[in-house]
Amino acid sequence: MAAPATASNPLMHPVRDLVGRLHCPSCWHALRPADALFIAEDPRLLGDPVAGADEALRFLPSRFDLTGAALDPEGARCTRLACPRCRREIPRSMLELPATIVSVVGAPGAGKSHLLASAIWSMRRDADRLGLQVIDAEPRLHARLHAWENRLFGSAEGPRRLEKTETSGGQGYASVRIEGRTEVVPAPFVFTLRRAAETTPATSLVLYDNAGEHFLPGADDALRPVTRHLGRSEAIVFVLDPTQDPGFRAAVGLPPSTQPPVRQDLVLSEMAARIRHHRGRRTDERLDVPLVIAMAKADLWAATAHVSMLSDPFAVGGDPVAALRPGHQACLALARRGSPEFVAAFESAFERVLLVPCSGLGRDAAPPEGPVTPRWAAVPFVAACEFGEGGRLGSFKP
Amino acid sequence: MRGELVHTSLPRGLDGGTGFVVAGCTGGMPRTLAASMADLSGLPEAWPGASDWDRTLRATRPIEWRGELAWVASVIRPCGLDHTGRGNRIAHHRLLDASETRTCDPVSMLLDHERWMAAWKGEPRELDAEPVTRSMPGHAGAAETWKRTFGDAGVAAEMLEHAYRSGVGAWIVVPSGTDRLAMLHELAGLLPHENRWKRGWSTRPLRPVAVPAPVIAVVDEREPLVCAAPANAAWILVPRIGQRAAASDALLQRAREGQGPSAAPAGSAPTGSVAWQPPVRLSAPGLEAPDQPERPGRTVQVSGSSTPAAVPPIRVELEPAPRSGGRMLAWLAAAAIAAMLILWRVLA
Repeated sequence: MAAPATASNPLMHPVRDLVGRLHCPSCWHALRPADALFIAEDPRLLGDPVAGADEALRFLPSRFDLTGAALDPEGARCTRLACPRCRREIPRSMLELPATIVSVVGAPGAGKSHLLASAIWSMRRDADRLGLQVIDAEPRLHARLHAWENRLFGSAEGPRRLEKTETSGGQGYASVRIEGRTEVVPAPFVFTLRRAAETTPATSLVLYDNAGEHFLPGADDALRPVTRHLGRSEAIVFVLDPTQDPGFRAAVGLPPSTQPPVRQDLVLSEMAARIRHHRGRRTDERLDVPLVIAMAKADLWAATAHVSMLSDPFAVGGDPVAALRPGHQACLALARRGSPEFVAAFESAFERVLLVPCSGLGRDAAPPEGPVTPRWAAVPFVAACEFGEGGRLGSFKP
Repeated sequence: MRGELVHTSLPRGLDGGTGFVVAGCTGGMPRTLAASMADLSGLPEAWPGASDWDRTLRATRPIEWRGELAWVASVIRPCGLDHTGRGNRIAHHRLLDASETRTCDPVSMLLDHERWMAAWKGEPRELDAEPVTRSMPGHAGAAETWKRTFGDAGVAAEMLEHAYRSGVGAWIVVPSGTDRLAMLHELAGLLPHENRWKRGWSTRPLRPVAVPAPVIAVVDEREPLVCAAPANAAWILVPRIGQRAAASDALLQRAREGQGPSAAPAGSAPTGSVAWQPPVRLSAPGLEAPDQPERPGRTVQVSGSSTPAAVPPIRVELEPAPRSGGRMLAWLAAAAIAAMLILWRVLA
């Protein structure tokens, strides 16, 4: 007996739910799913007036096949989508799932890229333990992240340090030609985030990794809107490098550094100011966006500061609020001793702050030998995802 | 305007920042101009095992500033480790003024190694923009490096024709280990001096985004961007060793025999024994005559490929046509007739 026709007929498939409205993760243009352009697949349709001559043509389709895929002018089946303004590719998951946007912020040299690479690697490997699963929405768009992971964890020659993040050019940004002017837009990492609790729906996790120089005062303007994601993010991971601060170094007994200190409190204040500008908030208003301060390179100072990273705060069945609180309090006490100006900066600007000790490499970066053993690298990012509605840190109060 | 800017990673920059900062800059340079030049400082990722020489980007590129086109010559190269222990690079940019572009060949400027910083020494400071006081003629001889590499110097002429036709610039892919800078020098030398400044030149691939003038790059076959590019990319030209060059006769002859030692004084059109003929239309892309019929996408046939690739014009900017003398005469005649009619009515 033949199988029911409905099983094979694509017209009988259930309609996919789409979000009502979304923002392009590169240029923040608001659009409805119906406004998204398709990216041509026919090799003859190469070159787009906005995206560049090396990108396939973007077009608004008028012909579709039975499965709902668009047909480009040459008849090829197209499934990839693009923003109608900047013409950068938008992962399809962003049209289907609500987005959780997390900005990674920090001073130059704080270790943002190292921590991000280690965190994603840890989240991939420990998905069951963390109760959280991250999957690349479009692996093709994550070549930069994969190269970092391979460099730190998959190289046969042993781990190597990552290159300094470029402030322009490279894979982290894209130049597009919008209305006669060249604009530099960031290239985010987009993941599909699934939680173990079946009651919580999956979301798209959008992560931004800028060069630290972009968070210095005056580094963001109309032609380089590379940190505008701060105006939309649901949580912020601020990577604080205590070893760059003389006060912190003294507080944990590290010898003075020969390098000039970096005023990380000013980076945080600049970030808070940009968030206020982009969200239209009052200057004296404390921001309700959760701030997770990832106190990096903890392998160098955790023992002296009496901070423990042995337990697993997000172990399934555990209480993450209770597990994170001792570390938070120990880090806060250390910050008050070492850098009271930094504490004042975040306490005056943010309502909900969580301090998390972590280490992207698990060892000093200077000698190239030795394995990379991240410690709590994923914790700040999982915490940032769990602050939202229904999240495991929804009840956290500092 | 003339200017100079150095961008590298330092503990403290000229503006007080840290990390990749402006280390040196001509005094009085407007901030927006400095930002535009600093934006050119990125060094494309190279293939594993690439030497510092291979990774170095030498380029002349146009930037738009206050609605005008300005040319910037740059050398961007790795320079050891920075203060944080990570790989550093130094980008040295020179903003050229009209007198320099009149007397200097773009690639000859890049070849003048003493002019370009290899590392930053000392504190951030303002720089004196020293002008190029001597003329720098381009390559006038035969394209010997092309001949050694491909067996026929005429390949340079053929590649130049295709590069001009592309309209979005071109990456000419050469075998690993060849002297790309010398090849670029010989390629630019095939053009009359004034036309060399209608294109940018580069030794590393630069994304063919919409820039005021396209860039012609001679790039290594191992470049990651080349490997990742679409197979039918119209701007990627891959000459084959032993191929028989096909280009206009004059250009072929010039590539194979050169102009002779006395030819091509700087700042003037070449006057050698070979009368140079434009290989294709030499108008900048998007500046074609308005009456020329054109599809939304221009079709470019790539050497060695049977698939034409559509390259839509990236920048369509038509210069206002100069008011013709005939139209002025017509206006004058109409005004005279009107005046006569009014006079006739008044008199009547």
